[in-house]
Amino acid sequence: MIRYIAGRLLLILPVLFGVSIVVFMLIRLIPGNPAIAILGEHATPELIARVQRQLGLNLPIWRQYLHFLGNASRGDFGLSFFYQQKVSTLTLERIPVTLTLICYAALLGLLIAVPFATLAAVRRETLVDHVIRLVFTATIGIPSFWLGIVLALLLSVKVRLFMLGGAGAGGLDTLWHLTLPALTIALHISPILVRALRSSLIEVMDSDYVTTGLAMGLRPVTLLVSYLLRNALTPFISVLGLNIGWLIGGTIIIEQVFGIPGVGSLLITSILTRDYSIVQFVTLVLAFLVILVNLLTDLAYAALDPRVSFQR
Amino acid sequence: MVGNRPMMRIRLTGLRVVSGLVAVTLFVPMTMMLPRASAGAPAVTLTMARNADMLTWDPYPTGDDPSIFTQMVVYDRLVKLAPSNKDVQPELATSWKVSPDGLTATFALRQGVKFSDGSPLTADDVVLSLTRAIDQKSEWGFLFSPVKSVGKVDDHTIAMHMSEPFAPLLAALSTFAASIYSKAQFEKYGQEMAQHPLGTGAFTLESWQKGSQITLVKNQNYWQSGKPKIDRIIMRVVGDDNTRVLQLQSGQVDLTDFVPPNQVQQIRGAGQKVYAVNGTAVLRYTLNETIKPLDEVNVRAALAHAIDREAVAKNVYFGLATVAKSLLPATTLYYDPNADPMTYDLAKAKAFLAKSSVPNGFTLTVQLPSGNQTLLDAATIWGNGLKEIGVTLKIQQVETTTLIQIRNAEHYTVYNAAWTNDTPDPDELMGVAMDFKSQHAAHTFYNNPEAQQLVAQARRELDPKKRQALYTQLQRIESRDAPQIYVVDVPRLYASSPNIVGFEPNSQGKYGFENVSKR
Repeated sequence: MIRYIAGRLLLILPVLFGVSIVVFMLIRLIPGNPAIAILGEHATPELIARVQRQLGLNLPIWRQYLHFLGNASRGDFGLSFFYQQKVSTLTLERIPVTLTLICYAALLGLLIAVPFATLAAVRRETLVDHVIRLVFTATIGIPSFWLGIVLALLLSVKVRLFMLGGAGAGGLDTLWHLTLPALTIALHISPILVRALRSSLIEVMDSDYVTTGLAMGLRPVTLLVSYLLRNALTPFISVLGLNIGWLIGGTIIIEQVFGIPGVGSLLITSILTRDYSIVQFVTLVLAFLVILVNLLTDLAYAALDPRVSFQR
Repeated sequence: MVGNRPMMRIRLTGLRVVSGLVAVTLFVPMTMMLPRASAGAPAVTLTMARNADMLTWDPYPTGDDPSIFTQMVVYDRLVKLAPSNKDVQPELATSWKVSPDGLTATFALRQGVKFSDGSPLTADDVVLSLTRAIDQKSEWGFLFSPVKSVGKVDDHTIAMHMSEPFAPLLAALSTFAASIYSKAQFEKYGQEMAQHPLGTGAFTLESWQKGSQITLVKNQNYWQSGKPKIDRIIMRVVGDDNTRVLQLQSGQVDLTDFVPPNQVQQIRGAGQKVYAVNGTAVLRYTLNETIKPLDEVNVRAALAHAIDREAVAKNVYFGLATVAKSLLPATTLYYDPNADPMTYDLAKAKAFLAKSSVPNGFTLTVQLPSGNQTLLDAATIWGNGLKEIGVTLKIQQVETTTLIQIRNAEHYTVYNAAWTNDTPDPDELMGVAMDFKSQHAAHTFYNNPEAQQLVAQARRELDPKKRQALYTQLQRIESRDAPQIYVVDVPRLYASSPNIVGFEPNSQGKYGFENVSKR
């Protein structure tokens, strides 16, 4: 098991290397350049050339990349063109907010998905099941930024229940601030979770051991909590793990909509201002997060299903 | 298994309780990792939502509006813009004198002024700040081009020396670019002063979480007694227009900037205050004369008379903008609305086009920054007018930085932007728009020796009456030759909750927090 984890962790390096090349090239493919974004309307060809020299953007792209790689191997990911601050400092100080938001959203997603999926599975093919499926299928089509604004209007302006924007002062205040954005993301991912959990529950409910259990007089609650949910969770966890990218993507947009000082809003602003070093570093961090979550998903799989083994 | 279904109807309450407990146990420790606000917050705090963060506290390389606006809060200047927007008033200078030949301006400095750290303001600080400001390599050096040097006369007097008489000097000194900061601070930090400002303004920097929040606190050593009236200003970055307005409406912020024009009515209806600051910008179309047939004055004049400015002001800016009658914003010095302005007159437009090489019309492309609905709507109104005279307008939306790149490379056809005006003096705008030597007259390639000569003459002329005549003539030429087509005077919009009083933003973007109080 430890060898497996070590192997997987080692594999992260080439993946991150690949991601770094793709991001490095992609951000430079976007038309417009940081010098113009920095200088704005006052940009003259001479000023642009000067700023490009200062930023090292006058070098051939492969030399820029080698330069980046050399520095990155020493843990130096460069300065933000705009903020003139280390990108690692800028990014890392925003990670707790983003992680809290992602976890909060995932948790709210589960709180929404588990009851409804269970209800739909248990009352399969009844009106309840149809309504649940219809409602959740319909919500897939709602854009998250629109949903965010509507929720803000209802729960923050009309009824001043939750705070709008910002990350609060820590502790419960932060939870209070992050509830609306987390709820928006949760509502956005819950259709996928409901569908996945419902179908895996149904599959498990159709198993012979359930019939046996019921025949032996086990209480339905015991059966559900001790046998059904655990077995249904395995495929469900893989769905959740696979959708972590989607969850992070949703978080990025929602952070911008709600003005939350996390990694996502930093990424969006930096793409608009062509702050290459920030975009590169944040993407690497997010890629690392996705890989890590996938690894944890595999480990959780093994923990939940004794048949899965990492021994060769 | 169908028969089993009724048996599975179980109560799910237990499951919810368990999930809730898991949520609380997981979250509270995690949120403890987040930075906490410092205890003992001062009594009166003004919270503002801004559309973007600033980038630097050093005026030398500054190019972005948020930096300009915030620097104006923390630094003072020798002079400030009068409420009329057309004159200057003493700030750190108490009086000034220009030599009879117009080549030397001497400024008496206010005595007893201290920086926010308690150190005294000296002539050396002023000399250093202004010497950097006039550096032609600095971002705004062009505003001071005839100024050759700044020198200390004595501890309380400085002098500026010019190569020729320079009428816009005082106006240029009122801009953020001529902000006065501490020499000691600059020597201590060098370029790093971009992160560590030290000024004599009403507020001073307490903390700056880049990209998310700036906290300013009252300057305890501020030279105007009894001001400022609030203790702290928190400026939060909220990029989304709707969110800023919603935050104001939910009472979470006291003030917000860049209010979308289409929300003004609703904000007012909800009892909030809206501030429309005029004189900040004119919405205009810049025509590239290297693209045929835009090299013909009759074609340009036809295009200029085919835009319904009233409709743009009313429908696009919801009545908050006013019809432009000059390339200069209405609050600029020597603005003349009666210098034969461009008007919406389709008959005239047709007559001009008939005299051109394309009497039956042509297809014109206008490039707009993508995602800007306001500019898109304005261009659509122009397109409707142009259709009437046989010209087809093709609207092309381009990402902002790319658009600036296209304009700088002079590969555009018609470029649309609302330039902000930095000084109340027309020299900056006219100097860029009408002088071919200045970036091909704002990339239009409009090359009129008479206009260039007028620009230079107006810059040297110290007699206000004669300057008025020169600028009236320049505005008349601009309206006739139409290198740029002006549309409407665009206001800068702010909104605040009703309990905020004394908020006095000016056309330079200075917030004027000195007199702000909360009821």
